Amino acid sequence: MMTNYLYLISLLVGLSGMAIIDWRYKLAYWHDRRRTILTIVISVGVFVVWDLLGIGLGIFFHGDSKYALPYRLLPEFPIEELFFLTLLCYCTLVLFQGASKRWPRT
Amino acid sequence: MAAYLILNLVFSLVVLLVLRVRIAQLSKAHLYTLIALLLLTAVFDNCIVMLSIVGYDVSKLLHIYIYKAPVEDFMYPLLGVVLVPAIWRKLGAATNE
Repeated sequence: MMTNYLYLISLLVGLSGMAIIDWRYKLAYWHDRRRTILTIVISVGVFVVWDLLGIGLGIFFHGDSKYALPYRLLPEFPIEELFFLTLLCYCTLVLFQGASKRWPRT
Repeated sequence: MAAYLILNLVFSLVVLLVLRVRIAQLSKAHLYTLIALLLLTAVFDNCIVMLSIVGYDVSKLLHIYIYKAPVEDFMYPLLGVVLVPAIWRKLGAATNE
């Protein structure tokens, strides 16, 4: 019963891990909350369009895995996908902010 | 045959044009972030493919894989590493610090 939640849970674990790094070094959300939220929302929006195009062209589809939930927000677009795209964008932002501090532009 | 590749190239190009990204904006930070993301993607993508969380119409792929992950998937982190910092930067310029 719980196995369906494993994908979602692993995404949440990933997000939490990035959040801890973010918080520890004040990189994104703990640096500028509004800017972070807007950046993530806009970036995720772009990726959602990309995903929907891929789905629309029949390139990829939901795999019916026992590790994923059966709920779709849209045809072939599972609820976990939003969390995944958020993780991708948040991870990119936090890593980039960290890298910018460590290797600043000269 | 190459539908996925073409989609990814066209989409990325459109996004880059809309954002008016210039090569000069890219830096070491971008490169190191990209390397990290590519490694994470290689692991993560293989996991979701092998666990059947995602499925592909193989007739639309190049059939070039990093283990089980289609190479075209790597364009997501590639665009992301340009897109996300560019939006962050533009939002910073907009609020005019």
